[in-house]
Amino acid sequence: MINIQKTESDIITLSIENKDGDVNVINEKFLTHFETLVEEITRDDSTKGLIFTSAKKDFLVGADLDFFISAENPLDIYKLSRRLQKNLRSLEKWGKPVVAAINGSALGGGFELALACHYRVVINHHSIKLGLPEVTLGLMPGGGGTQRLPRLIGIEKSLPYLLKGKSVSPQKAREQGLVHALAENQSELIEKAKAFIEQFNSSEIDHEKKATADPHSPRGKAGQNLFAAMTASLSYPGATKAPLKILSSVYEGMLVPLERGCEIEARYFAELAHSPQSNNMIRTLFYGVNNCKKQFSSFTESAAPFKKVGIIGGGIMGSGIAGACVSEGIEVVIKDLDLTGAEFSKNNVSQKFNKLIKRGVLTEEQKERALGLVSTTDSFEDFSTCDLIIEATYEDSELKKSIFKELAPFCREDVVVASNTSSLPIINLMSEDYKPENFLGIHFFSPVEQMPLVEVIKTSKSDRDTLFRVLKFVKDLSKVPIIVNDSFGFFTTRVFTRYIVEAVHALYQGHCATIIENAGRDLGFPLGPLEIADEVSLNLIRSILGEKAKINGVDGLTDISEKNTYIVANSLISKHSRLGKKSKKGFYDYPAKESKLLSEETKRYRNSEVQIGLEQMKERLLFIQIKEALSCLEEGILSSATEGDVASLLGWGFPPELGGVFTYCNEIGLQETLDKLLELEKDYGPRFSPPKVLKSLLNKNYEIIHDADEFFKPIATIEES
Amino acid sequence: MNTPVYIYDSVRTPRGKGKSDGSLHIVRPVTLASFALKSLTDRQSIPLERIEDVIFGCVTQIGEQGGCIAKAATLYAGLPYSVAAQTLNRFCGSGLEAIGHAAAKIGSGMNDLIIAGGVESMSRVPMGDDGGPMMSDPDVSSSIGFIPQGISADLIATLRGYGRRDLDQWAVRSHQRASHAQEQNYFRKSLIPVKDKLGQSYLSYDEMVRSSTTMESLAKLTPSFSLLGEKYGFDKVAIKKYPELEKIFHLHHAGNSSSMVDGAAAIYIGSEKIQKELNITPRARIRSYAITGSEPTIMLTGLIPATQMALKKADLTIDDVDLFEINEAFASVVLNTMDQLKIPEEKVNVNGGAIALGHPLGATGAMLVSSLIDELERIDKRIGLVTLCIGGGMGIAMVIERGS
Repeated sequence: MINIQKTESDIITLSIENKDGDVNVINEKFLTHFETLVEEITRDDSTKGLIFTSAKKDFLVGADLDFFISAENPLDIYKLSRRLQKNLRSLEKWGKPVVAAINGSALGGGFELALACHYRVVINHHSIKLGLPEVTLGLMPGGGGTQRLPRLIGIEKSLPYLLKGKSVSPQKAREQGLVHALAENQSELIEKAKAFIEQFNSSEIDHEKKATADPHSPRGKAGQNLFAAMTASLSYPGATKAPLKILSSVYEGMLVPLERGCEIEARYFAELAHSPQSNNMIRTLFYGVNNCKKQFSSFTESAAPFKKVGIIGGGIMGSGIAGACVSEGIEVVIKDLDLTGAEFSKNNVSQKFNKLIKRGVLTEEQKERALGLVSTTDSFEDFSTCDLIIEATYEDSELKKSIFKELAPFCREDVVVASNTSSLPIINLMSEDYKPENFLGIHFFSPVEQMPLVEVIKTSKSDRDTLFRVLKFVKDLSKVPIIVNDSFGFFTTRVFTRYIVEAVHALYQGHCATIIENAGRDLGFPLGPLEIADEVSLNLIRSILGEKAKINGVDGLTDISEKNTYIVANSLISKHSRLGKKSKKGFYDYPAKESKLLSEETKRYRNSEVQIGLEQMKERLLFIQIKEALSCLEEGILSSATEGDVASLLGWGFPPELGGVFTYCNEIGLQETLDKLLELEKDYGPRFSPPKVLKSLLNKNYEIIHDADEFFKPIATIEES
Repeated sequence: MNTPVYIYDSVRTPRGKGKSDGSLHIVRPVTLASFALKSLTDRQSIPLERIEDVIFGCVTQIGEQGGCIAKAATLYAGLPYSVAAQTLNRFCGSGLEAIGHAAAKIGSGMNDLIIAGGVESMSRVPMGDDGGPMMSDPDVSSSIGFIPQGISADLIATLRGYGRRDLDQWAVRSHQRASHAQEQNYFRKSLIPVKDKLGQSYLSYDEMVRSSTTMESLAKLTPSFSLLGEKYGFDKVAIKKYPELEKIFHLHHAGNSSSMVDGAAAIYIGSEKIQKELNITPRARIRSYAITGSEPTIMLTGLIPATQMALKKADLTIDDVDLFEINEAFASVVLNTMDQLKIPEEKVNVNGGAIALGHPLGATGAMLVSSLIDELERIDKRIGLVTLCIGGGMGIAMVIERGS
């Protein structure tokens, strides 16, 4: 795991090289080897100093997460943390210089190793990142990071790194004092490392003095106020666990010496890493996302890339998709109703890039190059050379059909055509002018530059090769694809809309709007359901429900909650011009300088004779989504539960600590899920009725939902219960 | 109380402005406390060796108020070495707790004569200087749902639907009543001017009272807790516990909240036995005492159950009580207490409250008792009740009956 080289000047270089995987991680193998080396090296007085570096692309990017998922006992995790901490401390106290010559990304445990070194020098390359991202998976640093970082750069400065998982470039790291020096290349890196060792003068980092001298030391008033305020900012309804545990680790650790602080950190670390919340986040956000990204990679690797993408519609989605394409060097042409519209769209792309330049993530040069790949037009003639066309206009099936009809004569024979629709069945949008095997859906999420999920919708006619090309396209955009089968609402919109519809139905029934909103937030959604309705806009919701009614035909909307949501949305739009956030009024009013408030029109639905408790409302909002997701499973919309979980978290902000709709079912068990749905059906109506698939899974003695191996088949066959 | 416990006499210093330009700012807290002790003991002919213990409330027990300030003050006042002392902290209820504590020791037969009181110099030892895990230890604070008291007060106002006007009106009343009481010298029995060694008076009246306070003058003040609530996230901590609220209305400001002041008080508490032994006449009897905990986020509602408990123990109802002293920590606290317990407004804080007079944390409870007894005597009424809300979510109440 770690290669040893001793140089002539008695400097030992330890080059980390994980032979079992792509990246260097801290696992049992590494730790054992590390322990042995530390023991040997610290015994040998002839050594002048130590240099850590890497033989792989990254320096060291964290711990092997398998261990945390599989650990049965939190004490095992505690011991692991203590082993790493103790060995790092041994090196730190050794008396000889230890240098981290960082020639790749140093994240998590890798950065903690570097922090324990007396000198950190890093190659100034834009691909290198340094930081402690553990919190993004519901974990925390367990190798002394919560103790060393505050002592290094001060408590106040360290908190964004620890609490938000912020990672920085080598340049920024140098500016912030995280590293001591930069190097232009590998040889300069080692040169500087050696130079430090040669002139080392036993200048041990004085952690203890720095801790007590910190202006925000918890011993003083300023510190007490800071920690009080930070605690409050992490204690809102629906807040996740990890940040508060990290804050406690810093607070408690800074009251004692470094080594004792590490003991405190190890305890919080074990508690978090063993928690179901963290395990859920790791399973979905790490393993799940990776699986989605890697699926069919043997096919997508050899698939032919798209060279030119035609985008119909220069709105927010169109511009976003264009930006994503040109960022990866893919040429695009944007068409809008007129040239002004298309130019406006290109300008939006430019604005987004300007923001990235301001953040130091993009250069002016890179922006110019990307914009050079954007052409604008008001005519489909310019789409004749496109090999992929994405339609991103209003959620109106008639409009889309007419656009596709108009486009048809200008397309290449072998063009792949997609709609960015969030809900309309693809099969209804295509005309005979198109080859059905090359016509599918590519559903991006807004805002495109922030949302990594892409829902790829295939129909029963879709061609495998076309599908693999599209998957490759999505992966090239650095997005996370899930594959779903064509139907109304696909997967994400179908399930996500339930969050809103259940809420608006409850509003219509007369329940307190604030309780409804706080129920959503308390569950762990980033926004309450009515807030979200305003964000996506009331007219989009009305359109989606309207389209669904059309599809249902003469029955219209049969589900009472959907019916009532349509009534409310329609009333707010037509009687009060309330379209949502973009029109400054929706369910909420959005005054210019103050925070938003629920509007009088919204509150008028309140009937004081009905009263729902917060916990009951939470159950309604959560389980209606569970029910819908299980129906999707039953109908064969999804090809795996993992994709459903990934879509939950990345697509609509489903509470990360719950892991996703299917992970939630597995957590509480399928029997409990069934019982709960039956109970809710009794109390609130047939829309909660448990799908047959639940019964059939239970009959087969499934305790949890497994992923399917087959691809084009639905995950479960529907049996008579 | 099963055995009678009596209040024989009480003194209190005026409340000085709790800032560096306050009249008592150059009077050290140990001096204030010893001054109160000396004033009380000097004006009675009780032999000093008979005093067994001094129990003083003091909240911010650090620095000048650390190291058992009660004992320091007892020695500094020249009381005999045999007089023991204890400093206690039950936040804003400390002054009343000291009396309750003394009453318990006397009622149980452990002691016969105790001086109970309190001292706080907020100008010299600012509130919060002593730290504490409830506020700043993340694991503790988050599990409690801690929010600063001012936001608790705003939370009460939001829940009860009190508007800015309601709160300001009470503030105006506090100043008008206090101002009138000062003019009429209603406080004369207990109020003792604080004097220096040259005989000059540092302060002889409660200097925070402003008869010029009006609704208009108060309307100009900006709410004190918006930033803390909205920017620092404490509002959301409150909403987490009270999810029926969309937002917290920030209505409290310096003018309708208690002011920070310096002051001390001392009260003779004794047994029936000591009455006979020393032939002294009690001014009042302690009928009952109640202490209870309450929801810590809203924090300031504990005085409601405490009042109910104290009345029940004394076998009395709200209607039986002639005068109420409901500590005006924040205007919404008083309004909420009156509304929930249906206490008639004309019986409440008749000579003003902490909004006008000030709230010297560790001493207030004792000051309220002394003012209450003075007023019961003045208007020839019998039953009084003192109650205070307490940090961390507690409430304390005591029923007092004038005479023996």
